[in-house]
Amino acid sequence: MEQLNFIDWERPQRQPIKGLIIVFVKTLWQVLKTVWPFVLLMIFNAKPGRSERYALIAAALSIFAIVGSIIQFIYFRFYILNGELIIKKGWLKKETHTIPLHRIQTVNIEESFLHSALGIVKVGIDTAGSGITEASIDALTKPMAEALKAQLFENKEVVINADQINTPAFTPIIKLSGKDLLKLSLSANHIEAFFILLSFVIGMYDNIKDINLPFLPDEATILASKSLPVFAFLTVSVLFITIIISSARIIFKYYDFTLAHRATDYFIRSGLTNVKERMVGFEKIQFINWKANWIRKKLGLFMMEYAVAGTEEMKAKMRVHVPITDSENIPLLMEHYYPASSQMEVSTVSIHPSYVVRRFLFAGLMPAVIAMAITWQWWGLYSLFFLVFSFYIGVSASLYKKKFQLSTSHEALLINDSVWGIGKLLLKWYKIQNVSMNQSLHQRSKNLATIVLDTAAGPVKIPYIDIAAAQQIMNYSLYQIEHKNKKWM
Amino acid sequence: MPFINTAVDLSALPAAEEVILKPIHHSFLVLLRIEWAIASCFLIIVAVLLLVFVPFIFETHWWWIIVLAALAVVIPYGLMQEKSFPYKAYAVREHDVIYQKGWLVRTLKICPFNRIQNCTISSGPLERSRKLASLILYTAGSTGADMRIPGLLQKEAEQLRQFILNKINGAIELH
Repeated sequence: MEQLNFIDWERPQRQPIKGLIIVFVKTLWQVLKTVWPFVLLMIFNAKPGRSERYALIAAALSIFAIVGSIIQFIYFRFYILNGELIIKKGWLKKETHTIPLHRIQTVNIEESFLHSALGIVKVGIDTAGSGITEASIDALTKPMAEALKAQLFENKEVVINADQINTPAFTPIIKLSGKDLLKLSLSANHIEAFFILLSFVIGMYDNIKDINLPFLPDEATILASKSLPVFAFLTVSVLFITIIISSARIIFKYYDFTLAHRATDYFIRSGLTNVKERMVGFEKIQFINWKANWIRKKLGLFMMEYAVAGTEEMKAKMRVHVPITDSENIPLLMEHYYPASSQMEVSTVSIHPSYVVRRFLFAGLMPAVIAMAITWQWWGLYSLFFLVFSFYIGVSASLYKKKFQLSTSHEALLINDSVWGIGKLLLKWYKIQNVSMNQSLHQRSKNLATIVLDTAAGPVKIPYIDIAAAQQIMNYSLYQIEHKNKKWM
Repeated sequence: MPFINTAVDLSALPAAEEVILKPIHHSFLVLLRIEWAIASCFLIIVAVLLLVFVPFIFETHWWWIIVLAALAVVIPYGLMQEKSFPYKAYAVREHDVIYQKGWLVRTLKICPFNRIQNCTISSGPLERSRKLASLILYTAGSTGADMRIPGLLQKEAEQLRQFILNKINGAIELH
């Protein structure tokens, strides 16, 4: 370790020779991922006794992977110069990644089974960007990785809040009672679970019907017994099972749900068998949305989501859903992001009627017609049920257009994006990362545009609005981001 | 149709849509054509291999579907490359980078410097043969590479990268 302190990080560094094995395995895996359909096709299409063909394929792939990994290994260099980590790689396709050190959020040292067998580690560098922006060094010795980590954070300012040192107790905001949990579970979106169950049952039936199980009715028997009572009984049974399953899912997930806060973060704990505890820093929240389906709206129940910054994989794990059983809690939950008492002005921006027509045609009718054409052969008239789906899309789009409302203030924008129940999204201007204005041929002919405000927790879209309003939103967002220069995380 | 009525004069804000954009280098069109030719050849080879090695296709007369599918990819792909080239253009302002692209769907994207996490220069063998490079900018946004400006001269891409890095560092010093 002593010697490692003298590493001249300004000189291009290579990975240790053991890293060649890691690079080879990675390259081989990538090659196999690309060519596996062709390999399968050739193997299954080959005549018996042609084992040399498989050997030839295996040899060709191995040679390709070996040559590829050696080239990758030789041309991979990294160094730190003028406050930037520079990673150079590639021979045919040369790439230079430049990461300013102050942008680096975390440096992860990881070890797979192969890494630990070889006595090396992988270094992952997270810049709070999307998954693709992350840089990684596949193989380094552990002392060198530690030295690199120390070097990357050498001049990084570490801010420790006084509250974090004293770790004050959390103040509870929400704690779900048994009654709340029951209301929440019964009002869940059972339709989604119904379709999951239905597709599972159909899939299972298709898989096992060829086995000729004595207890399994054949299609003729099912078709013969399609009298109304049987159909009604089956539907009620599936619905009943669906409600039980989706309710159980909610109970397992939100059992003993507790949300508390202190000066800098929220603490969330929930779960029956798999108890999850999470800490969410206020500054990590990019936008907030709260929703209620039609039944929940009637019962006064909401589901609030804190959209947290992170990579794609992290976002799925970090998604924070907070069940609210009392609407008076909403201002409390917004308090640390944007106080509910702040004034907002309702704008006159509205969605153009052509949005509904286009959604119905391209997201509803067109897929329905394709699905009907494919399934007609087997399902006959039953295929027409896909038309119900297209009408559902059309009605949803119409309700979305009707209820859409944009309110703004100097600090944030609030979008009413409800369809059947309640849906609201609150976004602070300075949390926006980049802005896009998209126009299709149709939109250009009608002077319309779709605005996409991309944040570190996902994009926020405002579709089919007047071009002048779209340009104003775009320019005002940029003014807010560039003028204030506030830290978004 | 004003969407907000605040003390900020919206009409006085710099309008990103009015900025005169600089088209990307004309050599990039040649490169797009070469890419199209290579991709088309690859697709034709795959189609021929399927016809030769999978006898089922000829027996069931599915061969014309394969041919039609290949044409349905190759022709629109070439058309899109040609038609969208004139709309690829960019501009660098004091606080952000603007990039426009798209023929059927026109996209105007703006990345503020104070949100850029890192930037990369990428140049494949074809690009290098024409002394071209692509500049890729990453913010913390959720859509992967947030901005990819292709068809820049290598020297120009390097200058832009340096300029953006200076801007990023400048933005940090302001805090």
